[in-house]
Amino acid sequence: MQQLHHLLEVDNLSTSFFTYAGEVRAVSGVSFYIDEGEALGIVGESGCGKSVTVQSVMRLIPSPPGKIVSGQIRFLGQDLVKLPEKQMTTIRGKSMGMIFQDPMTSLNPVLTIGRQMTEVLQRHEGLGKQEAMDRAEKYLEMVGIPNCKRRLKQYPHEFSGGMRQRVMIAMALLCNPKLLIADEPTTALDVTIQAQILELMKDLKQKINTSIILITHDLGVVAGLCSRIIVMYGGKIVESGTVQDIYKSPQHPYTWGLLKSVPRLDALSRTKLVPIHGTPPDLLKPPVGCGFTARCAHAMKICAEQPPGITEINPGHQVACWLLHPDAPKSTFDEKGRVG
Amino acid sequence: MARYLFGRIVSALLVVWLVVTLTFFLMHAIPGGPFSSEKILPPAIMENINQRYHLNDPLANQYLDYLKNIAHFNFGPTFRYEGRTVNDLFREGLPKTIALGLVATVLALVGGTMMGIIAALKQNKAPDYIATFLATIGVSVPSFVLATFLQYFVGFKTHWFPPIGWGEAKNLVLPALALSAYPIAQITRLTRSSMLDVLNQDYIRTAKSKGLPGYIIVLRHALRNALIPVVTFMGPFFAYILTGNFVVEYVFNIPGIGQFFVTSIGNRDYPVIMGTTILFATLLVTFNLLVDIAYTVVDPRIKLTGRKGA
Repeated sequence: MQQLHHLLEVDNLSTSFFTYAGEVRAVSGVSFYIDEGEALGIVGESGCGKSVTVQSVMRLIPSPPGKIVSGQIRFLGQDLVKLPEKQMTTIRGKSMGMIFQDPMTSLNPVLTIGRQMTEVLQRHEGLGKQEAMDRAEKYLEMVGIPNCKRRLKQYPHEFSGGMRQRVMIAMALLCNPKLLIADEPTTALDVTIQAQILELMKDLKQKINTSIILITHDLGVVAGLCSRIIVMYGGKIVESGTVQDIYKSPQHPYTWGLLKSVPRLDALSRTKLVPIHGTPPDLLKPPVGCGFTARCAHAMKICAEQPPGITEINPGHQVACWLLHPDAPKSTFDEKGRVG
Repeated sequence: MARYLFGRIVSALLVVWLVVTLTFFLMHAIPGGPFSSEKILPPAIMENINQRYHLNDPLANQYLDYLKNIAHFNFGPTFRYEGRTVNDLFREGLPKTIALGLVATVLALVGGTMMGIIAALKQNKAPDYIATFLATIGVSVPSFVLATFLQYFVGFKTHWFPPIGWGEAKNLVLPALALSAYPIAQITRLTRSSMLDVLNQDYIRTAKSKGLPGYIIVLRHALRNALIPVVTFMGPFFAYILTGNFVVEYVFNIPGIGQFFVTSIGNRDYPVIMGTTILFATLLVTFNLLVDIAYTVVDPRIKLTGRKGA
């Protein structure tokens, strides 16, 4: 891969939170990239570092206590880690937009939707009030909100949850950003609305050709939108590959666990969901070896002693697991979700 | 909104009427009268005076007459300030009281909000500690102590500001400071804590993600939300400014309404007691109504309607 053509390239990123108890290594040594027009999914359970990763990219980590300890974030030819805050504000909202998990609390309750949308355009594109209103109206229409003109004058509490998330999406896209980061955009919504929002994002990705990083803990959500998936666990990337790679030939026991815990409509009614037992590692004292050792059915002695290296199964499909070492015993995962 | 206002004005009139009635009868229940003093007047003269001011009439008649008079905004003669009416005292004292109250209000709102914002933005740093320290002092020192302190050290000792009197703008400085110290302290504390709360809200993160500069995030996005608890404090705040005003005017010898109010009670100057009480009650009721309207301006989620439970 020619590095110059990646839109965003994160290299060996580590972000920690310095608390009274000590350093919490929320993200350690994460590397990934995303190309223009591509959609990338980041999956993993709560606390695995997926939100911290993208918030590091946006430089939105609350600091103190949070800090990017090491690594590079290359975006449009600049290293965002080293960029002064003032310049960072010219990238946020303009070249990079973000949507958050809870649309009920992510909009300012005392400002009208129109005000919250137009301020982005006034800031980044220097539009006048009327021009900005016109553009905002156009974008609200694009995300499927009826009566846009009237809606612009309303306050967030006059919108439903799904409608607010549509507003958030429209607001993040106002300046046609190169990259849209969606941090669990459907988690707080009910299922039918989830489907609508995902459909909308898919549609918009085509229309304005923006790259999307979609964060979720729901593997079902990623498949429809993304072409590549990153699986994170305990602040590290354990497996990454195309949707095909991850769904058809997952290699990491944690990915197996995730896939087995996704409910499927086409499954037999008696098929039980299999949870992953145990809890994620304490990132205040990260384990020496692989973070998943304690919960892994296939763990070996070496897993607890040394961190696994990265094995490339085929171009683009990378796994960090000792089971792929040539000397390891054979463990596989079949399509019906059984581990043999 | 119109319906709500109508209801509120009716209930405000009712409150003022209750205050008038209670004060009137309580006042007459206190032993002594406006003309009883150490020097005993001859009974004939006493009788004459009482006749002149209708003080011999049955209390119920006096009460009804008084209600009739105040309905025409006539608050009667004063007993102690010869040849002047209560309306004269108002005309003379009210502008001074209002000027002092207004300066103190502006000081409290601007000073308190600014200190609160700075303390919140510099949490656990020197500016925060200084603001919190000053606020603790402001809350715990009573206004008469502070007034005397300012008068002696800043007025009398250093001659920076006149320690007493009225007339020039610089005369206002010390009394306004003494009067606003407590509300400044309270508003600082309120603004600081609600600002800290608001700065951690999701919508502030959204505002940051939009690339807005820091001052817009603080002023446009955070401050308006942080001011909602401050608006709640405005009701008690105005009550404090009105009552605190008695002490401060007294200490700094400002010929405002507060002075008349305090002296009139010792003098049993019935019309002045009644007049000032009605004035303060009306002001307080009006301010409370204004505060409720201010809520709807600050927070669009609040709507004032005349319907119950709406």
